[in-house]
Amino acid sequence: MAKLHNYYVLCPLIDQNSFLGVSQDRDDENVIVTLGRNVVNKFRLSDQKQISGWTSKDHLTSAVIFDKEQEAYVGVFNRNTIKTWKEDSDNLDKIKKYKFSVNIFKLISRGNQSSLIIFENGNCASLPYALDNRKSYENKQLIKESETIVDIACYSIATNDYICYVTKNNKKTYDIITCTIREELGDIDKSKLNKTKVSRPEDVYVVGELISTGDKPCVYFLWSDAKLTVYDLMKKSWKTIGIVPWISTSSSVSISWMGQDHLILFGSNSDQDGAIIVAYNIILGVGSCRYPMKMYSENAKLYCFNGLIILEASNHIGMLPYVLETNRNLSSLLGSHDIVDDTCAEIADWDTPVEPIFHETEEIRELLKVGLTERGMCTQVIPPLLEKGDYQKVFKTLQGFKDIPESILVVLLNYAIKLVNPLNVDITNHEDFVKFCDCDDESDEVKEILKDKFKILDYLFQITFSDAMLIPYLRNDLSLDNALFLMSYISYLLVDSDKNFNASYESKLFDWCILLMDAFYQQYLLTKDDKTTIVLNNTQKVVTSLIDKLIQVNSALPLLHKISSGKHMENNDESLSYAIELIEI
Amino acid sequence: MACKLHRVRFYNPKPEQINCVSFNTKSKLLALARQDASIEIWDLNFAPFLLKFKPGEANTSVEALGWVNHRLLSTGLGGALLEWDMETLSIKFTMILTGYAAWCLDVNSSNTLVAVGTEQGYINLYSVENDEIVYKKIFDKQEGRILCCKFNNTGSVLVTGSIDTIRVWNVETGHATSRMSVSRRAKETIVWCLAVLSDNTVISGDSHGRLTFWDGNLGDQIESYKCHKSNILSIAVSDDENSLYCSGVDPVIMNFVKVNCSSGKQSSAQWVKNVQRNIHEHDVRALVIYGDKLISVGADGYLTLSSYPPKWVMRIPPMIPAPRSAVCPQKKLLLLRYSNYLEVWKLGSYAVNESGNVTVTNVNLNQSLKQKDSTNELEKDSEIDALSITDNKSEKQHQAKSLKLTEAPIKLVSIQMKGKKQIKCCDFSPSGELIVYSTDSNMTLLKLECDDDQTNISLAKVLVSGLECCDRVAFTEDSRTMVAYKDGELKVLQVDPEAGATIVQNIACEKYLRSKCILHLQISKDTPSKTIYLVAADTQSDIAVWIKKDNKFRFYVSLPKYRCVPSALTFDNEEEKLIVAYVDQELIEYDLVKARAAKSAVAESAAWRARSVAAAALCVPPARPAHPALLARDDSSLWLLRSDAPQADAEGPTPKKKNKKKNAVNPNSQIRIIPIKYLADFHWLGDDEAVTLEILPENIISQLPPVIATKRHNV
Repeated sequence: MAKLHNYYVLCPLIDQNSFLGVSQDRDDENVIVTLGRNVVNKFRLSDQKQISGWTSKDHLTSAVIFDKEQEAYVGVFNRNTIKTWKEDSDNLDKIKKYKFSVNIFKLISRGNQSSLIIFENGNCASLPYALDNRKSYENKQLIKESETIVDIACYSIATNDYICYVTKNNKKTYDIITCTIREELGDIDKSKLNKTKVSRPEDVYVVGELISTGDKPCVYFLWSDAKLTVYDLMKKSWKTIGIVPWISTSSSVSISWMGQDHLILFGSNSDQDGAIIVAYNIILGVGSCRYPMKMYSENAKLYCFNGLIILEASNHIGMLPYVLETNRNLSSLLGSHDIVDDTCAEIADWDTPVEPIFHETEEIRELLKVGLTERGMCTQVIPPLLEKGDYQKVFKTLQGFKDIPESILVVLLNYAIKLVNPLNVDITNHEDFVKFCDCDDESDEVKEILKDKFKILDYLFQITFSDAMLIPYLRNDLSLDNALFLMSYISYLLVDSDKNFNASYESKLFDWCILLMDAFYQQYLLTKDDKTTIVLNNTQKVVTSLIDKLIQVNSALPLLHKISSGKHMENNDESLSYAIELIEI
Repeated sequence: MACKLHRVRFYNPKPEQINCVSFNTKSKLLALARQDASIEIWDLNFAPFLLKFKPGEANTSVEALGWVNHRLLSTGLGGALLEWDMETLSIKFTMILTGYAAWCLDVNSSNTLVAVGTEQGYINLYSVENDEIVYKKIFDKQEGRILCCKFNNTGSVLVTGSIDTIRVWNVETGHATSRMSVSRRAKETIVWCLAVLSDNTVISGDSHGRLTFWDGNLGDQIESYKCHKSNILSIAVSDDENSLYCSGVDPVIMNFVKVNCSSGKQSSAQWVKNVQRNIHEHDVRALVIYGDKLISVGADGYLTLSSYPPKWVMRIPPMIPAPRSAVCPQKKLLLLRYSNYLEVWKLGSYAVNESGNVTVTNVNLNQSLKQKDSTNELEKDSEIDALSITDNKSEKQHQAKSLKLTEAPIKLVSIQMKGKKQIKCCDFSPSGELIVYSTDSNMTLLKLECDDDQTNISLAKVLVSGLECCDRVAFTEDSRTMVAYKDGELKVLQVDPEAGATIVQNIACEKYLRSKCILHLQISKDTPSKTIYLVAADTQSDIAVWIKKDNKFRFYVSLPKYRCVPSALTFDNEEEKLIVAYVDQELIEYDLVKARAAKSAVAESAAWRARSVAAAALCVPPARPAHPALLARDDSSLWLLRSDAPQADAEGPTPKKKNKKKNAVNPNSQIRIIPIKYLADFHWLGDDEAVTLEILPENIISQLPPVIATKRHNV
């Protein structure tokens, strides 16, 4: 799920038409804003303070970038001149100019590699190479006169670097041009040029595009019927993702990549009386969050930096912090689907293949044909398996399902607990319990088996569920002893175990803990059993110690930051060397 | 009742490295010399206690020390062999050596001969019989400086170590009998330290970290161990010659033991590596074995005692000898003594809200006390046993509440000594207007004037007539009389801030104090019976009390003789008692009116008896009902001793009090310990206000030279 926080203003825009763009500075938390024709400012995102800026008499014609290789800022002036300057330069007019005979379209920074210059004729070259050979730099037109470049990005597959253009011709049709670029020179290897037409049989047109250069380089297109399609640059194949809700696709839509399967889209709202920002999950094909805005501006530039959406608005640049989380519960997305009649029945290349793309197991093959839901299949497949008692098989089958009904989950939990057989261990004895969970007492052979059994239990905790639906099942089907065992086991996992797990799994563990508390609340209260008290006390200890650790980390962080930034800590020093304290003597 | 405690942690005198030590096995005195050429004599008979201190002098050095019976000899880069007068701690005899700077010194086992190794390669041999130093011989000149020398057991053979070579000399003839080459692969090797066993086995430690065993008769190498990563600077062999310790720039202390492996008829002994101890972080310069304890000293300035098994470590931090500070409670002024300058500070003040209560800013849980640093491999000081027993109880009280400061402490003046000389003693008059201090040549009395807002601070010299310098000085409560001790005489001076100080009385102490070197000098406040007492204690554990009558001090009484020296003493003004703590942890209360001594009940408790450090000071609480406990201070803790047994208020025995009485039977309930590392001084400022002078261990470490870099795999 995505959550968009409060919108605020980074800086005012002098003239929206002349705004050239925002790019990443050396540090993650700073951005370079190329404002208008001759102003470049640097802003700190955390407090929106301008930290430096430059003005120039020459007109800037493309967004200024920070070139990590030279550790310098690079800008394009008057379409054909390049200037580079350092952080401490104060006058851009006195800097050496590198004039080119061809017009420059834009600059692209490429992380640790040298930046690329893109010329208007579609050629490109690495910055140092181009600067050295600027006089002799002549190149054939790569892009037809009738075409304009809409978007450019670099990506790499394995060790090869590629460049990708999205062009538009005067008939408003789009093309994707990809080509390898040569190392060091950074120019296009024309023999490997590849052009793909972007078109659909229906009478629709493209309203937004994005070249995504992440792990899977691909190009997203948003069409006028709100359908989002993607062209995979590696597999060179098309795929439809789904319908983007809430946004009007009659005017242009800006798209950017948020990370973790999310796109961010900015466009006019469906009533066309304002604008809207939509976070769209491309895996599930649903909009996961929307944020209404007052004013829509066409072809607004949209970026995502450092957990922030940066958006060009009518008279300012705004920023919108966001949080992304992997999806936990399908039900929370209910209703977010906009059902649009997909009139086009033709499937052809465009849609998902008929055959399921995943490998189906024997158990579900038949059920799949019937068209049962995943939940349905799960309820039919799992219980008979449990009766057979082959826990390896259970585990394997289980991993095939994503959506497991809560009733089955509780059954599985009971099964898993029975597998590890905690009856012999006294969960109030911490040492014994840890030994039991580490399977320390057993011989090597038994240990392996027991560890596998624990793995099932561990896996069960990471299954997503709806707590409201799970609680009744827990109350009915799980015994108090098992609940206490689970709570102790969770505390063991959190504190004593040497198993590695990621943050989301850990947060699941906490959810389970809360859930168990919730479900067995009354029983916990009413039982006078010492065991219950001990387990609860133990859990409380674990939680408070974790909180303490968080507080410690929290208090250490600013200190570390201060030390790393080399600031003198006078206050602290003062209090250390002298204090008046109350002490019993 | 909670007491407002000013914790002064800005007192950080530079820790001086220890260069060398010498241990007198007969008197159990340890002499140690620091980098600044100061010499300290520690009494190790009971709890280690600093007996005598000779301030260092600029441009002098002490590189080696040696005991000849009760005489202390030293030598250094000045190129002279010095004998020290143990009474006055001044130079008694100087002998100029042949061969410039001297690096090492050794005394033979019968205390008749001293050998000194010099820069130019000459060994100077002196006879030290009959309280004299008489030139005996110079050995054949050898090439290169002599860095270490050692006699064998009988004194017939001397072994010397220098760069790349070890030589064995016949002491009678002065010729070398064998030479061992230490250099390896043409790399220069410095032999830093040597040991000779009774079978003439020579053990050497060198700059490559190798410990080598040689046959001293043949000059052959027997065994060699690369046991250290860097220079080995010291070797100590136990008396039975079955165990040895070595350490150096790589400060791990390695233990080797002799193992007898008898195969068939032949039985041969072999030295094998035993335990190693991580006690120091800085260079270890010298090691001494004393019974089951190992004394190690070095660049960190700590005097460290350790033993194994069981693992036990005790560190005595480098500190300026007492008295280190003095207070003027009225004006909240604090006088701090550094090695060659003094500072006067105005203490800060705390905020008080409308209702008159102090404002607490934060409550510190006692986090610093029990922190365990797992990455640090250094062995921690062994905890006081009693602390762990009483811990649960005192835990609550350790939650120190910090008060909001309204004024930070201000340094009023800093007084530099003439010619950077080190200070011997100093005192601050209770009125806060007079400061007196003395080096070994000059005594100065200063008048300090200061406005309430600390804007106008002036120091004016007050004339002291008739006294050049002194060993110890003290003011009376009214700040108008000053008593100074010098060369066996107590001088009573009448002090007038305007007119100056003049001697009004001379008291010869010969009759009462056997030693001329005094440990304590204190003057009581006005007691209820309108008398003022003066007490002086010397290093022979004589304690004499004088009483002030008709403006003159008259001898009053000598305390019963005890087997060891008093480590601290103080007056209990209200009850007219003199309380004395001895280094064997005996605590005596001497009733001055009835002239009767009694053992303090608290000191009978096991916790007090188990202490391994001597009480450095005793403090009688100013307000009895609120703070009934007698305070004993040592370097790392403050002991609260409640000797008040509830029978004092037996008049109204309410049930509650009866309960208390029951508790009081348990000796632990009478003792509370507040650990503070390191506590340099403690003073009461008022009824519920006190000041502690603390030197944090990290502040000592931060002033030390860098340590040898070591690779730690787990970091």
